[in-house]
Amino acid sequence: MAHDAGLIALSVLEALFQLGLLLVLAPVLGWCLDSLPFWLAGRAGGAVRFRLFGAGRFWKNLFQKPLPGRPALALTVGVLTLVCLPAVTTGSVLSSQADPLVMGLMLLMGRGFLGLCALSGEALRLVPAILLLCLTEALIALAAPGTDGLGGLCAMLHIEPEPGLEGALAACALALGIACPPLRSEDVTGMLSGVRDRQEREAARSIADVLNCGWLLLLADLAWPVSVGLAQGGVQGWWLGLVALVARLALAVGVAVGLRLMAQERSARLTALFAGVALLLALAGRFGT
Amino acid sequence: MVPACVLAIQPGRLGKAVVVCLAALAAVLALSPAVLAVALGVIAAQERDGCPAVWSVPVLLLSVLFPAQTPVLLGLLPVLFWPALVRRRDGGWSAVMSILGVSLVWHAPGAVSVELVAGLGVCVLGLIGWSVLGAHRPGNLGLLRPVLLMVLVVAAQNEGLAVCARIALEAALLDLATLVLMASLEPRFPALTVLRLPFPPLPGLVVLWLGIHAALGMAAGVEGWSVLGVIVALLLGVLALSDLLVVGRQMSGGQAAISGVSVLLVGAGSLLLPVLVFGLTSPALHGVGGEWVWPVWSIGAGDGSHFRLMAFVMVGALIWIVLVRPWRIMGGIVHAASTLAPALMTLLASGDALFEEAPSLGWSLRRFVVSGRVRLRGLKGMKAPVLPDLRHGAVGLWLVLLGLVLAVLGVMT
Repeated sequence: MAHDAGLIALSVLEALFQLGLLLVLAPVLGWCLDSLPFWLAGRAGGAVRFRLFGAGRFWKNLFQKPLPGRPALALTVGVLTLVCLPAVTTGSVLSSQADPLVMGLMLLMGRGFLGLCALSGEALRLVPAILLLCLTEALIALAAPGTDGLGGLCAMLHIEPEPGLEGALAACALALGIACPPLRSEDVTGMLSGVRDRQEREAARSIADVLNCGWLLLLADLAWPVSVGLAQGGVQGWWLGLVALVARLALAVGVAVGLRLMAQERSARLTALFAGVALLLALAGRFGT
Repeated sequence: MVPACVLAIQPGRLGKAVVVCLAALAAVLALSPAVLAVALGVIAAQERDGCPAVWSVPVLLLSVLFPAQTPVLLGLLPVLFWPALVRRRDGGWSAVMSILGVSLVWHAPGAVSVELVAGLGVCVLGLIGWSVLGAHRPGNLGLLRPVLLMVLVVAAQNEGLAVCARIALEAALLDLATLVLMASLEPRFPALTVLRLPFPPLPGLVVLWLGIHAALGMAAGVEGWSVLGVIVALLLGVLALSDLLVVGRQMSGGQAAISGVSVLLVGAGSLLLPVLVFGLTSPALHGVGGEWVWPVWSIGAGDGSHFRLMAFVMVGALIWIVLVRPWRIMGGIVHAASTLAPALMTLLASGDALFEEAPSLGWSLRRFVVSGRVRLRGLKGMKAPVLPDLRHGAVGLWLVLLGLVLAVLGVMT
């Protein structure tokens, strides 16, 4: 009994640690998404510490003054995603909730609640993104029946590798990244066009960073599910999972920035091509064995 | 019995009467396919904008004579959904038609499910294509989803997959319950249409999730359903997208302020509607298959994955309430929740741009048609073969080749 209680406390601790780590990483990832293209082009961007200070101010204000309902829902979505998705190991307490379809739809909904007006062309991102999420869920259920969400999938892939499914999921993640790239700072500016209050605008930027971090983590988990450590991995496995998490997120940021620099974002043909590749790989993996 | 129900479903009556009548209607009509066809004829005759008699009368006659034939079932689809999908009229009628469609499919266990799925898919895509080219919004395509899910139930029962049939039946019943609830309560509480949206934690997402898992459960159990299951999953995604459009239209027509009762109803509905529906229909569900479980805390998909809706809602609501801290004002929660409605409307209104103006695709299509005509004319007087410049279509070629490989894989299994 005491052993069970200890395990549960450990998994709660791990979920809290994961949430804290990802919330600290969110402004850094946001800075990478915004400044890396400039930096690669040889121009100077803002320093990362200003982004971190901004996030710190946002969280400090949050403790003093409550948020209005709409941005609070967007932040709830972001926090819920970050705490549910498997990050370091599959042992965190809520990782059984991480269904890719549920998580993805929730993040897409959270984007809508971020600003007062919708992004122009938001429908052209929503439509392929929702269809791709359905395809992802379908491919997981097709190639690995019996897995419970992303956490169960990661655990199953450790025991029984399935290259067809992994390739298909990577193609799905790439298609999702092409069809619905993370929010840029111009996008957030456009969504906030009716908001006058400075504090509210800065809060929306910090929430956008959290949502972007959740979206990137979802794509990274889909693209490379084996790198999530097992719950029973011990201390060494936990450290490996931490290193793999950082590597996975760096890879996701690199791919997102690369797609943006090469102007391949939101290309309908590439999205369809990668979705087709994913379907083909999953079918080949299913019938090849 | 049937005309009495029909009289009671006039618009403007009390919602309770409609619910009672729909229940009675479902109970009576579930008896026999011939009674179904007669009832369908009676209801279709009441409707001014119904399907043209040239089509509906012969099809109804055929359905009385051969009740369980697949082509007849497919032919009945226009009779069922003409007013809602082509004339785009809302109201209690459309929910009745969905119930009728579900019971028609239920009474035709010998129907070929592949053809039914193909017919429904062609129907959905054709309607969407028609509205894109015509630059108007598609009608309430979500009405077709219970029928599609019932096709899954029948197919799974034919193959002997009881658990899969049960999951699909759960999804179909939840979807029908949401439809009937919308049809009966929508005049008084327009905000309730939100429940159909495919966003967590609303019941629309539960329907989508259960439907996808039921379709892929078929793929795991039956050979030849791999590609078909993925297609059904994508079809369910398309229907969910059409729900976004429909809810956006219905909410933008209503008033901007949302009353406190509606907010509470939406909250209670998203938390309790699946539990209520699964609890009330549990005799039917367990008559179909599976052991006795009442999915309150976690909704199982039959293939080992679970959707823990209650825990999800509670964790999310806890975080939101801590962020908003509504206990300082009276009725703070309801007030804060009602401010979410305008934001949701802007999100849903983003879909309007897709159908408001004639598509830019139209010009390239027109150019394609015209150039094709010119080329055909040129073929007549051709002396030496000249190929057009095809280098821009490389991605299209790859897509076609990919599709061919997929088709071969799907046929071979």
